[in-house]
Amino acid sequence: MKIENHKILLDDGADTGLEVLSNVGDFDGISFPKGISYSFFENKEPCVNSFYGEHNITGFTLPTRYKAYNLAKPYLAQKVTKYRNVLFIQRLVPVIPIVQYKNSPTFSNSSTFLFPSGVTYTPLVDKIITNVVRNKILIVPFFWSSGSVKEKFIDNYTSDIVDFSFFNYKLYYTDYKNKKYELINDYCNPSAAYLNANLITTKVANYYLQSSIPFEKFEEWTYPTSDLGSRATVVNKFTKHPEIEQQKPFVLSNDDVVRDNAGGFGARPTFSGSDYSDTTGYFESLAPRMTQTLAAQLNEPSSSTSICNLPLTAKSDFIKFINSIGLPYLTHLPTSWDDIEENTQVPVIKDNGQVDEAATPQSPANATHFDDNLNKLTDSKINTPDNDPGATISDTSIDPPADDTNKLPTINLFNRTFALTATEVRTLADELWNADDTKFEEIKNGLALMGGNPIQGLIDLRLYPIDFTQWTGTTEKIIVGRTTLDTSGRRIETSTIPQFTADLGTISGQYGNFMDFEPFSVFQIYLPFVGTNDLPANLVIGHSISAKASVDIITGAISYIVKADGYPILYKNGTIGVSIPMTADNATEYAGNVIHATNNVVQTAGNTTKTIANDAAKATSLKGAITDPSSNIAGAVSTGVDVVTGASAIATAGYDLSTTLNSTTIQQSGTASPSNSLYTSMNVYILQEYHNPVIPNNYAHDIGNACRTSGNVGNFTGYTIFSNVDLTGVSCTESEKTIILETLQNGVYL
Amino acid sequence: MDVTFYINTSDKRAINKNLSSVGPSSSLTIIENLDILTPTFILTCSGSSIGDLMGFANYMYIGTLARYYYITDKKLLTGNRIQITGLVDPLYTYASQIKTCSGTVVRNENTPLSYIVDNQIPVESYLTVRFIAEAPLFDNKTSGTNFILNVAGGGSNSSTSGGETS
Repeated sequence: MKIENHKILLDDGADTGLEVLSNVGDFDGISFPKGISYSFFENKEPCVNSFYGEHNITGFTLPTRYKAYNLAKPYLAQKVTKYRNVLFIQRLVPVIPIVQYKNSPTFSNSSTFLFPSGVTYTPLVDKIITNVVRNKILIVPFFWSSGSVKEKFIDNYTSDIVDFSFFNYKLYYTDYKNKKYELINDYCNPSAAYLNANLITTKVANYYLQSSIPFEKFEEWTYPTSDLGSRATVVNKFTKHPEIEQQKPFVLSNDDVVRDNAGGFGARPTFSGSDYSDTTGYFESLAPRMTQTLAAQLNEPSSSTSICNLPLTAKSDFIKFINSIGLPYLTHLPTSWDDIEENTQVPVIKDNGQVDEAATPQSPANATHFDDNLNKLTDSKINTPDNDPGATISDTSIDPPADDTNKLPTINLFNRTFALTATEVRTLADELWNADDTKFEEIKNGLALMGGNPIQGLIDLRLYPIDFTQWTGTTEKIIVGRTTLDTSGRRIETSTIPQFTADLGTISGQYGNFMDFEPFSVFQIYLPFVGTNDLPANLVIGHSISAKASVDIITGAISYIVKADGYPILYKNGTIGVSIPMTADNATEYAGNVIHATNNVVQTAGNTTKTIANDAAKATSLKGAITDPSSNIAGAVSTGVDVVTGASAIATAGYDLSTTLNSTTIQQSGTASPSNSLYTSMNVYILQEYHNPVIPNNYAHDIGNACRTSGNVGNFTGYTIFSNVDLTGVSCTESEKTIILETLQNGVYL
Repeated sequence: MDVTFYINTSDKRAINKNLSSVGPSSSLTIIENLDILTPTFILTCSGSSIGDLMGFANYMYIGTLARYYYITDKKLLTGNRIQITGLVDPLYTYASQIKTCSGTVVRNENTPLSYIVDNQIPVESYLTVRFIAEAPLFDNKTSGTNFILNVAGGGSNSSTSGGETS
């Protein structure tokens, strides 16, 4: 930061506001020379114009009043980082001076502080102030007993008050995430500021309370400075914000006040008598009253409240005042974090930022506004609209279909099914091809039903990326036909097919807005042994996605059901079992299938758009599958290898190869396998392909974000374009109406 | 007919203008006709205020016409006279009335990007890919009982165990 040409540049060398946030602390302790009009800039974007306007100031420093914001900063920065909302980052920048502005300066008898005129801060900043900072601030009212320097808190303040002085309040920063709190500052201590005051009236009290409201704007209010005499150095005017309707804090009544520093006047229980006639609170009556200060006897208060209950009236009204500020509050000094969580009273803030007096306060238990509002702002309103981003999957009156519980057996019906290790497969091959004549004849005779060819007894051998141990039973010798071999395997005992589920959780889009939907984004799900499949964005975003795979171990088929919130949205089939060729017949058939497939590919090669690299990898995988050691069980497989090698160059032509193979796959032993898929991911995953938006920094301010809503013109803020406005009630000429309408339709700054 | 002059630092499209007074209020002299939308008049003023009006004033309020005007042209004439031409600013003049009018908004600065498609946002032509979620399903490095052998014969002693895993 540097001071240059009477302007303070918040230049961190970056275009984003995040870095600026990290430098907010640079303001702490900085003294600003008097006689200068200040403007705050983030890079070249003016944030606040003429912060101190044309007023002459005596100089000021910015110490702890930034503290609240600084403490809130990490939380905001975290959210900003998480959601990458550039616009939000940049709009945070003006918070710096606004917090300073709204957080009243330190008063002293020697200082003159004039609230700035012409301060321009965006409604979004105001919203941030209202919803973020407000929720981070806890206000604790208490009473200052000037005599014994003893704090009496409001709950203890009943009729036993001895020396009623005046209300005061403390501000705490509350960090709900980390469950910490910290005293920021004491506010509104008129006793200290008005040490030389002769009298504090209702109006003075209201002034002090309201002028020190943190993060609150003031309604224009001219104070009769002529009556202040030597204390005329105090603020004499609050400037009404030019753009935003402001809420006037609750104003104390005469019943709630007053004291003089000499102890003569005051809302003491002992007061009674004749001189409570100063119902206006103006200083006009000061002189005559001061002449009888010590002997003053007050009349009954103007309300129906008796004098003895005056403190209670004050207490009640002071609570109203605290509520009107819109800050969460405690009625006693916090003793622990739990104390804050349990006992904090929460004003209810309406959507327009005003305090909902009818509903205020809420108890902590029902205080949805309290921290939820912060979450709503950071998690939803800024980045994610409240409405469900995704489409409704189905009529909610219809439950998701339950999984089919069919357990009709498909295994162990007519044949036997064994699960083997690679070693056991090799042992089986050795036993079959090296059997002595007696064993061979035994097998042959046992297979008389099938023509006596021993190899016909081996129906199918497949390799899976699955360990079938959990589906197997006892280990027993393999029986081919009616012959028991020496090789053992584990009998598959399941009568249902193995099923696997991948839970992908609830899916969030990249941006949380329309950019997450077609045509800006495309969602795909990758399913092992099937490939990628498009998913409609509206069935993905905001929904819990799962993929359930069912494996038919007899045929090698795999079937997927992809579900969103339990509702099936995609069915896909593929082949997972790698068929191992075992005989020359099988291998020849296998090669024939491949040649048939590649011929089909050649015919369509000209149309393919896939990369050579992909295709080469697939061809390599295909060849690899055939030469895989696990398939060496078939001694005659070399014939197939040669055929496929010769065809592999052709096979590189297209990605359609695997599809074609699958489509012509014969679900018997020796057919083409999906072994190439074994080299790809075994995980299910979802990917989002999206076009990055290039949003200029000032897009919202210069162009405006798309919306479709209606309301009074005055209800909107910032750059706004209307499609149409009903100008009924505007008392101007038709020519001017035309100008107004065209301006509104072309865009105005509200 | 009094005229009050201002320095307007606000955008022409701002319904709320940021005005600061400049120069004294003055009485104007009408040149023939005074158009309510684009008035032109002559002002006689003191020497000290000529500089302010000529150099800085860009906005004015004509009380009799009850309207605010942009100053579109200024000419310094002899005899400490200034000829000023204005253009009515109905947006600010009738701001309070306009704000009570109802309308439909199609773009707004403080409405966050939502699910309403904004076709004015430029996007890069290429696609960026990100993996959103991933969950394991199979393990191709398994070295257990990965082979399934189906043999002829038998078929009895099937059981009912098995089922889903994840």
